[in-house]
Amino acid sequence: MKNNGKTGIIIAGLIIGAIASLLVYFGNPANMGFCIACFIRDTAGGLGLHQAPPVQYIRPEIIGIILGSFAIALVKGEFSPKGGSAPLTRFAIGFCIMIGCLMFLGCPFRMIIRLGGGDLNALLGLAGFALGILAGVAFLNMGYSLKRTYKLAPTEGGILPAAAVVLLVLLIAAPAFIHFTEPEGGPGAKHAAIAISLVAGAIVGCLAQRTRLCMAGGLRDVVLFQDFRLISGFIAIFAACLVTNLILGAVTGGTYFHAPCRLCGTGDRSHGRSVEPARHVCSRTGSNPSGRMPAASAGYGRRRQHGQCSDSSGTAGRRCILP
Amino acid sequence: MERVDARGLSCPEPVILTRKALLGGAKEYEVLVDNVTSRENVTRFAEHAGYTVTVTEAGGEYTLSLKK
Repeated sequence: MKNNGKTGIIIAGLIIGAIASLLVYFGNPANMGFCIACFIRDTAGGLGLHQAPPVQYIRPEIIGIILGSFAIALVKGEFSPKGGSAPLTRFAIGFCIMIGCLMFLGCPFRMIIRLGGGDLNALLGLAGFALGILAGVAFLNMGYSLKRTYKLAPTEGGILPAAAVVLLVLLIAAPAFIHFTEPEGGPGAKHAAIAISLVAGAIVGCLAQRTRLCMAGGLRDVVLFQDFRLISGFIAIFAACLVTNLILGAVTGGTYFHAPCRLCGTGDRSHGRSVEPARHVCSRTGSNPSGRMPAASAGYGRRRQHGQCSDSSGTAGRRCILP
Repeated sequence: MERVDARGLSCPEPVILTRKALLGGAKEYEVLVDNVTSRENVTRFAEHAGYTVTVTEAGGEYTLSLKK
């Protein structure tokens, strides 16, 4: 059988997966080397579009992805702005996707990164994602269409890259109206250095543009015609994340996995790490009723040490109230 | 020769339209797309369905000739 460009996408996936884990080493939140939805959320917070202090930071990875893919598209003569089909429907769909992603605490990209970090909650996300794709394909088979797009002027397509440059300037200049999560104040405070994040984003943007990396497309191709090219890129990301996390864990002595805690046996390995107070379940009150694993999910909020919870009511599943 | 005009359509509509057309079982098809991603997706699908694909490009639009 023809290789069909599979080698290229696998190599790209391996590089992307390794970069994702290394970004955590350089300071990003656990299992969050990349998360498109979370990073857009943080960037929106940085611009003051929402007022949730734990998640406010203009993420250079997003800027890098936009500028990297834009540059390579220009170089390869593939820059071809299009638009004009069903804009309100697309807006509404995008709105719903973002809500879904933030409830899951990750985009499809981070879903794979979470799996590479041993967070098996992401398996349920993967199952839901696959069902969503099947539903979408069913609608399309029944004739649903967003109708045709039209060619737009290059200036139209240049607006987003220009906005990315403005974001970068705002991040570096840090004027008073840009919000930054306070140190230890939540996942927004956890980030790699700007240059590292920017270069990492640019590399991933270039690779994704060249390989057309697409999780939804990957599953669609497997379902529709048993083609594994696109999905192999994500399998490579998973493998690279897993191996890089293992290496980083061995070399640094830290944990890059969502392993059960040695002390309490729960999935909450937030001890000494940042967790979101409202969502953290005290280790002394039994299991986590939501099944959610805060440290791997995003690492919100304030720092707390194991066993220092002020809530001693003992109510099973009661959420911990931090001192 | 049956023709599928998928220009301007978003992923994965070009593949879905091509798939529907191919159910007709003809020996030759012509699929029109206007972006590289659709060109690659439709090519991959058609090759899996046993067709050989030749691509011609003109003004940012691609004509995919599918032959069995």
